[in-house]
Amino acid sequence: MYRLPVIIDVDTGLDDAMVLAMACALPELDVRAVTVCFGNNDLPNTLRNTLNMLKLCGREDIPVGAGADRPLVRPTPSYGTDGHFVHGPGGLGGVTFPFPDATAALSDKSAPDLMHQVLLESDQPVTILCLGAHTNAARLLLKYPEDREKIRCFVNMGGLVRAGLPTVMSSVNIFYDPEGAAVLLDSGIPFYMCPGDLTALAMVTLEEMEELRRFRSPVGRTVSAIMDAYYKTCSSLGEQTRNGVTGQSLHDPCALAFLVHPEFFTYGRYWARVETQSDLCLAMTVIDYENTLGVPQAEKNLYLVDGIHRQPFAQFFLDTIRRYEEGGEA
Amino acid sequence: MRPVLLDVNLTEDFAAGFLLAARAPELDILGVTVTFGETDLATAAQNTAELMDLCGLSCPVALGADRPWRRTWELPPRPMPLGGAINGMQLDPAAKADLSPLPAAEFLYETLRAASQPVTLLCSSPLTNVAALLERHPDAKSRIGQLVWRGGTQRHAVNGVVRDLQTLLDPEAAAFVMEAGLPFVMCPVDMGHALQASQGEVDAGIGLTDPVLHQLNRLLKKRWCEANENQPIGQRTLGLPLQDVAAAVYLLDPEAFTAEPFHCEVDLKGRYTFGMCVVDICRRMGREDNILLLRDADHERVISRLYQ
Repeated sequence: MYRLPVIIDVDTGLDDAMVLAMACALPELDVRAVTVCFGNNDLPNTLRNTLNMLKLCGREDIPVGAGADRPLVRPTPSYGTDGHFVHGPGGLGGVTFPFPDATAALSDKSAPDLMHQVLLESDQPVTILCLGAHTNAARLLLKYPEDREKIRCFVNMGGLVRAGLPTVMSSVNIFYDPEGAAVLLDSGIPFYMCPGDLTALAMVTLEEMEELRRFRSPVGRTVSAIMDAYYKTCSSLGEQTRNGVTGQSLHDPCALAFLVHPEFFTYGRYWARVETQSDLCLAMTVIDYENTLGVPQAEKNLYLVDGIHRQPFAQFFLDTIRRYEEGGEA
Repeated sequence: MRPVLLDVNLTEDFAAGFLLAARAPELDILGVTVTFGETDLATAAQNTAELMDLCGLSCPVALGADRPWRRTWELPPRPMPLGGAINGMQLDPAAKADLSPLPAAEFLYETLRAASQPVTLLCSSPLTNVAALLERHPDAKSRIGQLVWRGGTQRHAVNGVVRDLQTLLDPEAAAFVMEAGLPFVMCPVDMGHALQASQGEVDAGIGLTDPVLHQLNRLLKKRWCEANENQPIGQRTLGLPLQDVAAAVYLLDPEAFTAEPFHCEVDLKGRYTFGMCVVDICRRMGREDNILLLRDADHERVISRLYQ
């Protein structure tokens, strides 16, 4: 069976936790490492949540690298107002684990060093999935520029098209570290971006959430509790209905789904950079989707994923979590 | 069953045609010969091995020309691995083909001689191997029942204003084979434009559990996205031209196509038109028809074979 080697960079995070649950169960993925960043919450919380989630999923064999607790350049993280509210004070919506905080999988290597080791030891290029601030991947590129040949591509969750969250033209994962994101987009390494516009459409309906609520495995129950916490905060912000569908957008799982099922999606290819100098437009993903610059094709560094078939995505999500149920192998 | 030889420089834009031909129960694939083309011979050979491994095709493979028939290059080959992209086909890099000790032209000749009936050649790329075959063994001609070429163009250009890739990559070979007096069916770039798959037709393959059809779905979706990649967001309305599928399906259902005989030559002299495939569409030259030009097809009838 074809297995995709991947490093997953998270800021767990309600939807990051769902990705971890999915990635641990998917035979198509060969998760070589998980690296953790600040973002949805401070690093101590995102790290703790990551380690606990991986233990719950029975995958303490995956090494975890603690990464950046602040952006590449700016002195302190800028969260805006939404991140901590959406994911709750501990970063996981108040969801708890039936064991003391897990530590066994924590590597003594920092995130960039762990990524470097994975790339060095891999016989084929590895994909890096960035689900939070892009700081860890940026630090990898800056510290180990020779590793770029071993990076197959970046896939991220982040960016927005002419819209803003938390500020007028930013998107959270870019806003957390604009310079970090810029390092990646300047690198010339193929970058597949799943922007907020797209991931908002990766919804599970209220009925599908009900189906999830019937799962009985410890992972299934935890993912359902995470889903309910996510829906509670997002719906209070009025985000529960998009395109006539009511439910919960699964932002990070959407990016994971692109990796495993690209056929569910459409995308375009454009020139793109991150704005780091403006005050008004800080962290904007500046995407030339109307080809105003007319650059040669090879300079179109961004694959912007812009369309999704919702139902197969939701089915994929449920089928993957169902693998944890007794007799639930899809 | 109809005996067929495939001559390919296998890259993403012929993989669908290759799979359709390889999976068709009506066709008996006697062998695959590999040529240079858009990609180099070694990459094409590896792509061939991986695709054959995917679909379980186990006939012999013979390596052929690594450069054009009579010149060094018109377009230098570049590496184009079939399984390279994150959203492309997922193939086994350890796949190995059953390599014939014979070079392609000799392999073609021996296979044609051993066949009990005339054989169809399905060619996807520069006609270098066939030119070498006919040059060394003129008696091979009578053993070729039909040559179907995914190549040539009537009105559409892919390169340099007037040219298509498969002619341009080896113009002398194309000219020589076209003039050889074979039953020559040209499936031109225009045929691809006449047979375009919509997003819906590509997405009809989502969720198919057959591993080959799943990979075909991934491939076609990638190609569809690339056809639309320069479109602004929300305007991904272009279809995916399927020149390779048309060529393969012509072997299975020629009645589904509208075809017309013409005289065709390759320009080997012009400043702007060197390497151009020239179809005498207005019948000015008064020369004998040497190609059957595919012009149109019954869309439903051909597309329905995609995910069969």
